[in-house]
Amino acid sequence: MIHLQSHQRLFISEDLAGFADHLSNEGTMPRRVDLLLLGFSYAVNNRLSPTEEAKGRELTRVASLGGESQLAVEAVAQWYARSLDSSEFADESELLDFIIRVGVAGVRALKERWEGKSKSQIQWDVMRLASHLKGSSAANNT
Amino acid sequence: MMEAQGTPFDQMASRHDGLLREVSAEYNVDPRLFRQLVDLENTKVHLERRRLVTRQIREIIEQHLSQREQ
Amino acid sequence: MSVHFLKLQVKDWLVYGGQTTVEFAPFQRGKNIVVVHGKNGFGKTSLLRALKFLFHNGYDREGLLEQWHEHAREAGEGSMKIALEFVYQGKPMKLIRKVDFESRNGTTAVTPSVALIDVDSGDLENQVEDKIELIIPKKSQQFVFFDGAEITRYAQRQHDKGIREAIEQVLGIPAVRNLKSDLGKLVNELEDEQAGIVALQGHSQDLLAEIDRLKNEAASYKEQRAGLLDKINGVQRAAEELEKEAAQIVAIATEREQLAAKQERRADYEEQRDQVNDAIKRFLSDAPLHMLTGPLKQIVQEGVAKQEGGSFRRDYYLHVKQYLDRVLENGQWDFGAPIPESTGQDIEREAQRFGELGAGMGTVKRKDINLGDISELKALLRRLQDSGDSQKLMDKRAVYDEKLEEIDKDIRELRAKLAGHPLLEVQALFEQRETLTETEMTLKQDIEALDGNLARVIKEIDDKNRELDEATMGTDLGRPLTETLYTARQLYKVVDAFVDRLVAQKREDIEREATNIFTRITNKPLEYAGIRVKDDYTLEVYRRDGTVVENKKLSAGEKEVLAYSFITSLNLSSPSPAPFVMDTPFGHLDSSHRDGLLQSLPNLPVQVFLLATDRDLPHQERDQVQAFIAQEFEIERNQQEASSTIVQE
Repeated sequence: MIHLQSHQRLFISEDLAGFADHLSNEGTMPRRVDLLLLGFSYAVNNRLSPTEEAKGRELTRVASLGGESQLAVEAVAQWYARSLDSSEFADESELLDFIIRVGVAGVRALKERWEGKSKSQIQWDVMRLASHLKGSSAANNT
Repeated sequence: MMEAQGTPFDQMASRHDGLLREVSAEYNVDPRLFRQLVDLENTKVHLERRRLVTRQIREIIEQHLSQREQ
Repeated sequence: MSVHFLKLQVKDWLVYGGQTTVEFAPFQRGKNIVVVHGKNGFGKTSLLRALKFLFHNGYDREGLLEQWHEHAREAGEGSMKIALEFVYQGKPMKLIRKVDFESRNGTTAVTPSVALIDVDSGDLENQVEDKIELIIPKKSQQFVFFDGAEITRYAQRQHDKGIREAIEQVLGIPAVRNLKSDLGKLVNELEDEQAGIVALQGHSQDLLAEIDRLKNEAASYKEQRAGLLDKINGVQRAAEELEKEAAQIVAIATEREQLAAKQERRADYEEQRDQVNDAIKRFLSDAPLHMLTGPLKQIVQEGVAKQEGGSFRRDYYLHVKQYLDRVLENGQWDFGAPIPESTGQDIEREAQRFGELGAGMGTVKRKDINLGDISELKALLRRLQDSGDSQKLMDKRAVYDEKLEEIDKDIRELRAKLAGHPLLEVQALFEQRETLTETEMTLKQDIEALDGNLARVIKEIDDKNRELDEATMGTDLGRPLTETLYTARQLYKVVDAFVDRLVAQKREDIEREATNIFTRITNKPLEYAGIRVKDDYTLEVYRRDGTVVENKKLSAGEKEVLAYSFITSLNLSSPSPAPFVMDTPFGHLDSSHRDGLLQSLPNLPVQVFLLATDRDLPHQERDQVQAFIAQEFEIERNQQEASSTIVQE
């Protein structure tokens, strides 16, 4: 399994940067990168296709993900890529690129889903998504 | 114009007898005289009859004084 | 001694056509109730009105024509008459009020007349109206002949000035007050006459002048005194206000305490909610991981399978190679048979193949997940499992949100209540009260000083008057005058003192009597201790602990019972208590008060005439007072004649 390097940088596309700022300012999410992670998880569960480009606004370095999150995302990304029949990653930059593109796809879907919702409504939705899918393997077919 | 003693209408004052005697004694006044005057007023509660009351009171007092001297 | 009715005659009055006579049994204490039953419209109220008319008339010409029974009126001429035989101060008397109607020049002449007869001697009394005033003063009629509506009206208009006058009239006080004012006039007259006599003697002029000066001085002191009294009243009122304010502040102190307690509780709730919020935050940050538990579990399963499966098969391949190598080396199978050369070459090839297979299994591909990562992912999955139920957290937070909302509302309300009150300490108010008390005391001392001066001046006046009297006593003209004057002055002082004491005594009598009646009738005998009559003859109910019941806190029924108690006590405190004639008195009272009232009737020392419908006095209630009923009558109505009569049952 390929692992990311701690100095690598995570991005979010420009059009979603404002959304990420808004959520973290309101306190809906602790950090902007949490939105990206959430997007990633949402995309995986809903079998969304990764977006095309992975350029945009820098969020933070991989190091700030924390060991647990980083490993989980690395493992799931590679597993997800295999399930999409894509070719194996050559190195960690290809892996990172994939993770960002999946994450952005998920964030776009979440932005639509949370249109017009208040902070507590969004948080409530996140809690629901997290507990609903906890332990279920239904959404994850390879 | 006095009624004879003993008819029910002239004995109003006697209902206040105890108090009447007490107060009369304090001022050295004959309680009978006082009672007489109260009875007089009791028969004259209608305003039109009170015009000559001071004269009547005076007469009663004077009569009482002359009787006392005898 | 009270007044008792013996016989009533009614002729052509209102609904009573012709002559109706009712004879009453002699009055007996404890068996004093006379019930007159009658349906509405049959003639109960006509009876009440007959008695009112008998004693005080009150109708003008038109009014009298209206009271005349209609059939008799149709005849155009005749008379109507009410006659009552009764006992007054032990003497049998008869009162007759009659109205003659005569047809004259197309109109009806109306001639009322009244006669009061001493039954024993048969003599006609003079000054009839004055004497009737002594028996039942007009202003006290409402305390003797009344209906339920009257009680209600009285209950509502206690503060009427007319009531006070009526009360004093019942108590015989006006006569005594009149005497005082008349004596005062007489004294002035006599003093003027005395001054006339003194004018003839030169030296006493100075005395007269001195007396005048002293009288003016006395008048000025009296005026000052009145002013000081006003000030004292003002101070007392202000003190009362302060007491009220202090009481309010004490009440507020409680609310302040409540506020503090609620604020503390709020802080607790907030703390607990913060804890829940923190747990939710933690859950939220883990949310992406929670969402990936599915894939992560699969990844772990596969990884474990690969690892475990891989080592098992490799061992097998290597084990077989080892066996084949050993067989080749030994040149024979393990069971002993030799291996021919051609077979040996096959075996060598097979051993090589197994070796390669085994070698291939052992290599962990660079892209596979290793054991270390697997165990880390396993640990993560365990942690996520243990992180708690998000639903429960959200519910808990909702509960705290609600609690906080409620308590915030309470806090807002309490703050609003406390807002209007400045942070005045009760202490400060008490200090103000102290100051007022001191002021009051100073004022009272001033009054005492004034009284001292007044007494001194009055004594001086008395001394001067005595000097003057001595001077005038010496003359033939002056002596009788002076004696009369002296007596009149003394009488004036007597009456002055007498009025005050009489009023006080009467008030006590009324209070006692009213309390007696009230406590028997009230349905709260454990709470209410009695009735107090204030200076202005208004009433207040006080409780056993001494506190006064605010008037507005009394129910309508209670107010009526209060009014009834007062009316009754007034009658009983008057020089000659008269019989009660009550027309449907219970209509407005609730049943518990009604029962109380009925039960109290036998204790009254007068006859009680109850004019009642069946609704007023249902059989059950009537039976309760059966033992106290002296007589019962029924008003019967002849519809054809449109006339009523009264028959004894």
